[in-house]
Amino acid sequence: MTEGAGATRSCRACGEAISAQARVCRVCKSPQGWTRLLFQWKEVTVAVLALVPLWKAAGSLAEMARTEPRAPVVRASALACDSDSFRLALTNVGTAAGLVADVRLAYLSDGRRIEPGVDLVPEGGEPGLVLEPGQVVTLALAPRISGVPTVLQFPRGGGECRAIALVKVKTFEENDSVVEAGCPCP
Amino acid sequence: MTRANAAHVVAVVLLTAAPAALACDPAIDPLGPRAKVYLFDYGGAESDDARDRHSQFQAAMLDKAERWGEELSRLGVGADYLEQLQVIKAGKDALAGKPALVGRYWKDSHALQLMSGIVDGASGQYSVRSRMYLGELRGGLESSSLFVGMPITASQFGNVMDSHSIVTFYALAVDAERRHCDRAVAIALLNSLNEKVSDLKRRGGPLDPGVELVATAARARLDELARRP
Repeated sequence: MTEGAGATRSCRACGEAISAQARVCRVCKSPQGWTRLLFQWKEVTVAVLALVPLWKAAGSLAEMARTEPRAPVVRASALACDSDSFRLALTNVGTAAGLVADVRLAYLSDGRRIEPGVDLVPEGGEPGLVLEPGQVVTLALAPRISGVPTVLQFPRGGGECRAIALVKVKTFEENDSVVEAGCPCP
Repeated sequence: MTRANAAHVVAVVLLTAAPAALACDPAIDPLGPRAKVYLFDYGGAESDDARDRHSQFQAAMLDKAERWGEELSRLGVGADYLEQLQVIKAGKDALAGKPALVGRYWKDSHALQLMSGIVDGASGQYSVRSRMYLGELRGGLESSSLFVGMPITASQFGNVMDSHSIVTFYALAVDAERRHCDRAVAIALLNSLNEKVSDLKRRGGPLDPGVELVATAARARLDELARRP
């Protein structure tokens, strides 16, 4: 190996004398800079690069497996119960919209449940309400029997009595649930 | 002593011996007594005059209901619920022409009776024809529906109201029996009904056929209750 314009050095791959400035060996064509390391370790490099998307895909699959399906979780609270109206507050604390399909009336009197066949229908509105996640609504409901107005008759057993609204919540996957809210009979 | 008088004597004896409050069996019907009369708008009230008559009739029914409460509380049978008897204006008759719905509505609304009908002014003189639906409270009657028709003139207004009262008292008596109340309650109601029938006969001659049916059924029931040991 010599200094100056005609200086030479040995190829890092084959050991033959080559120009000190040469980037590629004139004999074996091996690169003489840092990139030669890539070629030296190319199988390892390819293997590592291939692992990255595989790792990502595996992570995503694991995430999907861990996540609960999106569903509405509706909670209800009865604000007032009267013989001709029933006020209800509804909220959706779930992750998907829920459809409040219908509301039916029941009584709990002295531990006995009575369902008198009365619907509670939004006053002046169409039945059915879409409740988005995070939404809170209050509803004024009027008692109806097959769409005909009626007046509620509360049990008179003398013991504990509650009027209960049975709120049927539907999802777009047809998974129905019933949420209850009640208040003492007036 | 006539049969009616005998029943009256039995009623007086029973009432005298009755405790202050005559309990019914709450297990029979947890919703309690049927004490609501649903009054739907009558058909045929299209002209202004007919509408006025219809309004008068409805107002008189509501007023009558208040007096029923007072009248029944005076019976002294301790059945306080009778004071809660009320007439509810139910608006447009959405049950007309739907017999299956009438039965369901009566049952689910816990009504004593459903009243609908027509106002007829075709002959120049206005009259009402009421259909009083008693559902399962028809007792000894052949049908759950009774038709009571009468002219609604000033002189006849009292009779119209009394005819409707007779049917209502009959339904109350059958309801009291259905709920296994003390028989003194039913007897008092049927006796009161009989007095109204006598008043009607005294004032206006022959009874409306619907009222006659109820009066006959009430007499038969009263005799049976009086005979019971």
